[in-house]
Amino acid sequence: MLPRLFQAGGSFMVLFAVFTLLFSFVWAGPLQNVGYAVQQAAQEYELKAVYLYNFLQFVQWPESKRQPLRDGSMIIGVVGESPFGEALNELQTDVRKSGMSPVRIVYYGQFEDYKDMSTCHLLFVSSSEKRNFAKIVAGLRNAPVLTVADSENFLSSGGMINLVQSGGKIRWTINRAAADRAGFRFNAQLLSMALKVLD
Amino acid sequence: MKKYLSTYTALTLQKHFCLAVLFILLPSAAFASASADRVGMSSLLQKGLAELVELDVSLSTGTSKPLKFAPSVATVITAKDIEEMGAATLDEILETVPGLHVQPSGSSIFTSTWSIRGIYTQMNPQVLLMIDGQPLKININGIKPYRLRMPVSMISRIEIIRGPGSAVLGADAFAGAINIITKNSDEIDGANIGMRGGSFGSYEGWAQHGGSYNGWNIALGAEYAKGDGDHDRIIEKDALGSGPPSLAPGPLDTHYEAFTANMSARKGKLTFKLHNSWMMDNGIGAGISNTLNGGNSSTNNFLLAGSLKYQEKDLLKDLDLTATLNGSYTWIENTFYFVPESFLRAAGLCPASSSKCGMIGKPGGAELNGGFELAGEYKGFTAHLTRLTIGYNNFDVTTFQHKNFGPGVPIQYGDLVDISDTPYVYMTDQNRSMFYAGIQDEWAFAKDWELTSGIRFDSYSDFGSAISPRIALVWSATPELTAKLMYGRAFRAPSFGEMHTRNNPAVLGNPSLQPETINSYEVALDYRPNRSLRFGLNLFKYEINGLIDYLPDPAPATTRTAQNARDQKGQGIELEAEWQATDKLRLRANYSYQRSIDQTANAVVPDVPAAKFYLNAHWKFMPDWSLDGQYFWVGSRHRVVGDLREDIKDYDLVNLTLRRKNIAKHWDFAVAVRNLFDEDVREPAPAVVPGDYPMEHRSFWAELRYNF
Repeated sequence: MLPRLFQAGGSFMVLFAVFTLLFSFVWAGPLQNVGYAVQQAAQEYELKAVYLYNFLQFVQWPESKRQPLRDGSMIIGVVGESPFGEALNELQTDVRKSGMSPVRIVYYGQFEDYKDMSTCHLLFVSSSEKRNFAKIVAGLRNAPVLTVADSENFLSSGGMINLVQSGGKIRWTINRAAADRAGFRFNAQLLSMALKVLD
Repeated sequence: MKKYLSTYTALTLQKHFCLAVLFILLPSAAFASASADRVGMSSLLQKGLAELVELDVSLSTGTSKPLKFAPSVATVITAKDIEEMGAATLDEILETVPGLHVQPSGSSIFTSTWSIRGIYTQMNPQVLLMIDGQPLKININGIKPYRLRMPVSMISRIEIIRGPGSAVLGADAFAGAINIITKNSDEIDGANIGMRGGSFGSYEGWAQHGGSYNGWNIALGAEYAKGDGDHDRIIEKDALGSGPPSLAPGPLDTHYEAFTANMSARKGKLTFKLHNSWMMDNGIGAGISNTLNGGNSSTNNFLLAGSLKYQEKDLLKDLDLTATLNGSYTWIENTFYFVPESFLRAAGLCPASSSKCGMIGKPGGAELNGGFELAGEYKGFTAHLTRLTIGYNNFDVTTFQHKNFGPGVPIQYGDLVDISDTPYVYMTDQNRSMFYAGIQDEWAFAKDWELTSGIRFDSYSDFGSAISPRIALVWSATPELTAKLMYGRAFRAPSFGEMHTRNNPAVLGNPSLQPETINSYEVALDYRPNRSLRFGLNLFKYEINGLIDYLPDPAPATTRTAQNARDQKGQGIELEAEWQATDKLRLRANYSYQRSIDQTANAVVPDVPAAKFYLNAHWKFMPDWSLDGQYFWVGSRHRVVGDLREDIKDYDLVNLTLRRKNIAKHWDFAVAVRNLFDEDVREPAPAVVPGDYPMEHRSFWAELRYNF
């Protein structure tokens, strides 16, 4: 029966009508949002949060330039809309509980020229700041801040580490030239496990 | 039954015993080592970088684990796995999947047949092959491109779903579905080239580029491969016997030349993808009627598939929408020499009026397909995730044919005549359109419980409609143990060829065919006692009604006609284990066993292995070095009822790959040996080739890659 409707013409109208009908049925429900069952794999931003923490351990800061805070904390900053949800806060708590070297999280919010982000050790640049990548990086150039993102143009804008999805797993690419300029030295493992290292 | 049991020779029993021991030993090792571990934040923090990069990630956006496939028995093989095992083609990758066996088809131009869980037919249209979600199919026969040689350089990962998938994917996801996901610009990120050369005159080269231009993320890749094939794959007898006029004993013709290219461009909400598989010149094994032809017969097919996708997240509150336009163009020309010239001369059939003599057919076709799909995902219901899909596709086939024999040809066995638009062509032009609508709901109805239910309606213009439901219950019993219970129903549409082939000396169509259907029940357990161990256990049972196959017509006819040939029942088990034994050594193993019964003949389904074992060891013995070993055992393949030959011999196969990363700045190097012990591997052939098809002997290759 349906194919005949198509041949009769106006087939697109029929399709859209069907689709709209199906959706109106769905909208009739309560508009609440809940989390879904956790799969047998890591959640993307939990894993990325842990990578940020690992990067702090696997990078040698330029000597004498940057030390942890007095309580030994390192600061992870996030600029732009944070995609991490609760993951970074959880990281902060879990790290403290297990007696590992502590971190503090600073959310800078949307990028503005006047915001000084050079006080953090690692700056995660959200994809919501895609247009400002170059500006953000340029603003930091002289400060020893490890810049990390998970967006396609980040390294070409002068960022140092980019988290990428590869075959259902999370890996990273490194812009060594940018890191060198800021005086960073990467641990060999971090380099060898990178998907790609730009020199 | 007796015949079936008798094949369990001492050797087989011994192997099964070893397997049993292996599967018992692995878990005990697990219990001895570590405690349970949830992949949550605190356990992530305990992992080293090397472990973190191995973790599968369930993406909050993107398509790494598409919702639509979620509750099914699936194997995911990533680019890294492929590189480690040294696989050069898709076929090599697929053979490592439990329950899946790759073998050449004696009736389908020597194209590889991918049998899944004992579902095996000559043409093998029961497995749906997709690239980035778009079917890669010759609609004339409903099968993948003839002698497809899919290279691996552009593959990011492959999802292999065993079991029916029609509730999501529609027709043809019957025995299983294989989805190849190509690398995006991020994964390539820059440029790289590679080349590989080895035995049997084989060489290939590839180049890839990924980058960003004017806000477009572009990925490009192309690969070219050529090879002579192993000339020592000699068959002693073919359909004409042995010795003149037959060309047997002689080699199977497995030469190949293939070009494959991929392109993707993405900007914001738009994604454009283009894939090209061009099998330029490929031999067809023992020949079209299992008559050696001295390398004259070949297939040349070209397929271009493109899609344009628009994704709108949060179009309305909690609603994501994806609209996809897709189209493909296929061009096929096969050249078939049915018998050698010597045969025609001996029989005095060569025309006096022509210098040429042969029995040649060149059937071809051009296909144009187009369609669209709208899919919406709605998360607004409490504890529900609902997905709605509608789509429309149109398939158009134009046939053409040159031929020098049979009706419509004035001088038999002489010059080729174009019979394209005559009543003598093998199939008239065909068209079909189809519409579908599907809904799927994922419902987390209690803590640790999830119910996925879906149903899809497909309506075809030429043969009717099909309804494909599925339901899956997932229970995360403990953080270590997940159990799935699944039911699904699938169908396969009769192809144009199966319905309309005519005037063909080998196979004939049947317009009264009905779609074949399958009902399948599965139980799947996934157990990860600790972070270095994983076990999988799948049990399945299925019933097929009206499986379409080409059955021999009554003698003296030499043709076979498509029929809803038989009902089939099957059941089986798949065991999988993965163990990261040390930082440097990883072991993977799987064992599968199936028992499928052709209910019409009341006999075990022939030609397909009842049992299969795979063992893989990957050893990073020094920084930058790795050695990978693969062991395959394929066994218990029976003959069709009435074929008095002994059952097909079991075989063992060992492959080794040695890889050195960064052999010099930017350079990677690898060498490999395939079929290390030069085992005489045979895959089943029809009775006219009594010795079966010999597979490739020992071979070597070396590979260089350069990353810019």
